Amino acid sequence: MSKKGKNPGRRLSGIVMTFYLLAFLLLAVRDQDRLGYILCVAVPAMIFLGTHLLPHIFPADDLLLSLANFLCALGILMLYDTNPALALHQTIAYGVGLGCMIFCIYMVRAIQSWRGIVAVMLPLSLLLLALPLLMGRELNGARSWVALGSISFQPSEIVKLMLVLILSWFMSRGKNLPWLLYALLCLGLLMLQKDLGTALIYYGMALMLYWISSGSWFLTLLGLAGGAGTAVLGYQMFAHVRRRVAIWIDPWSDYVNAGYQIVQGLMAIASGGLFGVGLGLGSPTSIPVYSSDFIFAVICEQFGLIFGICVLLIYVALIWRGAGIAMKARRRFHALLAMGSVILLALQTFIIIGGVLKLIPLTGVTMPFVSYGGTSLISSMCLIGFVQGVASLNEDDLDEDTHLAMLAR
Amino acid sequence: MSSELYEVLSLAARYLFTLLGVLIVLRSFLWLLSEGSQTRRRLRHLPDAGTVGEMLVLQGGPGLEEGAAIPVPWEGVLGSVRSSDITVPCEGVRPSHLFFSYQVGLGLLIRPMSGCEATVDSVVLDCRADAKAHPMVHGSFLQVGGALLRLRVFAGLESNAGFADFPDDAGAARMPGQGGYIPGPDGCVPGPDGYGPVPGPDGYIPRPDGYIPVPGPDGYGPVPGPDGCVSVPDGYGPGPGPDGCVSVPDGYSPGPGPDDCGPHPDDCMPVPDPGFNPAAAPEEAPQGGAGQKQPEAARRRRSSRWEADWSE
Repeated sequence: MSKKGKNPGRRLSGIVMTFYLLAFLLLAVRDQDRLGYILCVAVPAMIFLGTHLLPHIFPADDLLLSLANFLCALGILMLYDTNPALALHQTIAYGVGLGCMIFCIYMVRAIQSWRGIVAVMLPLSLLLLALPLLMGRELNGARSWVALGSISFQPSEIVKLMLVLILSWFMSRGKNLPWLLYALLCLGLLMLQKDLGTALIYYGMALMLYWISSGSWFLTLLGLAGGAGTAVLGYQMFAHVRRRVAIWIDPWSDYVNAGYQIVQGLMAIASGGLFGVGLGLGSPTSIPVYSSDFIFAVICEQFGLIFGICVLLIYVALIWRGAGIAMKARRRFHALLAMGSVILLALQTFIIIGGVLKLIPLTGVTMPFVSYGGTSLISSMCLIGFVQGVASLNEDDLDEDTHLAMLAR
Repeated sequence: MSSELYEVLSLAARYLFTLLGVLIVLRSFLWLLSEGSQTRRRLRHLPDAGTVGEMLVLQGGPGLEEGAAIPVPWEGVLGSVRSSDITVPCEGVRPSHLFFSYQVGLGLLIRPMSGCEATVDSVVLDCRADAKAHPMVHGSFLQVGGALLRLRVFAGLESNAGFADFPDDAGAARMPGQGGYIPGPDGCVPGPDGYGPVPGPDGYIPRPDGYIPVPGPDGYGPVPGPDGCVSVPDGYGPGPGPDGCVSVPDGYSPGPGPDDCGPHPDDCMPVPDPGFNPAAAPEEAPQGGAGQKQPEAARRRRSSRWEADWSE
């Protein structure tokens, strides 16, 4: 509570609800669409319930929940602006993601020994990663999707959750060889799928988590050198890697074909200026894959560069909060789990936004919480669920310390 | 709504949306910072938060002072490097020597790393040992390399194993091989040197069983009881035992029993000095409940013997 007795959560949620009420109302008035009017009421109501009611029912970190809700609603808003059908799918995925987040919170709180679960997850995750190679379909150059009837999903998004649990467990016990072998197998399978963006995320997360758990600069730098060497080798061996790097260096050299996506994204950001072209205006659909990879470019075009920076700062606040929760954890496993989850979100955000802004070569990963994609949204919510579970355990530990201090008096 | 009207509305609303976005960011960071300061304030009132107890250093090294207290977190690594959760910079301790974790109801579980060893209460553990079979509890000793540590668990953290078994039959918490006492679970407080119970004003150290030798009227020895007899730690009084004979812990009799003899293996009265005349003892020896004073010389010898006992 603030000094004046006002809840900071209420103040933040009030502003967020106002933002989405006005935004969806504007779009609903433009389209004269019933769905728009429903979302105009439903989204602020969901934000209110998510921020104020849910923390009373299950243990959750209010600030993390507020920030995650804001980003998810922003994704629904941008999708409704460009394609209302996608917005409906995203809203359903958000509801499922919320349920999965609650499940992950209780899982972290309830499970004392993860040994059995890790033993099951090890082969299961490798099988899931091998599925696209056996029965997957290629999309945007990567064979990373699996279709089961009408439902298609990305196994690598689910394996991401298992990866952070497995790595945290082994590292908390000081057993380096098992997790190293497992990580190498995962990377190998991802390279075979040509899902380089996800491979980069897995590799970065494993390396950073190892450094945090061991503090060994030498081995971490050795791992970094190994990764750089592999990247150079990949550049020499694979043509699509060379193409991506060439387009990154000079997208204007082939702006009609290979460089079209990056050029359109850069032009959209530039045309938005500081305050944007206006919600519902501009031409976001001219950017290829605007709903997932380049949704940040759409946000910058519609709302402007200042708002784009605000979105980045929201991610920074989320990661900062998650890192603080990880540092306060009493058990090594919980600390590594929370930190690993936060690193995954941070890396994914950096890689996609860096690619959109031409800071680094573009890879086909999604923007956490915002991009269209059910599996991606659900896995991001689950990662937040892990962090929230650790946060609730920290709170319980602090309450117990207070109780013990009173006993000692 | 016409597209022109919508365009005007949207262009006007973009400044509002930017402002709301900036406010959202500011509120988020203010909330983040205020929560952080609240947590820091709360932790300031809980100096032991995150720890289950502390390790007292009984034997250290150049980088580890004897008598130092190292906080013990719930879980972590004990090693010689500074980044360890418990840093023991002593000979024979590896950079990461062992894992430890506290389990409520069990105690502090020790798991040495591969190739490392640790001794918990005289039991040698290696990386293959079952940590749950030998948990450290309040009062347990831990030997790693050249360092000897003793665990003190904070009150409220219960363990089914209770307290560590002390090697001393008297029940006092004693450092093996050395004099002095470590405060035990009976509440004996450490003396100024960090060891043992606090000596009383006469220099006597209160025993864990509560017996406190306080100076008698002559300044020596334990205070006589209401019958004038001195109670000694072995429960024997100077009064005659069930056989009528008087026995004292040092073998000296304060006086002959009804048969004029004291207990002695060769039926001779052990004489503390050549001038001692047992025949003269009945005038000086205390009877059971008579409340008579002991000879000063004998009292002094007894008190000096007790003093010698407790000064070990």
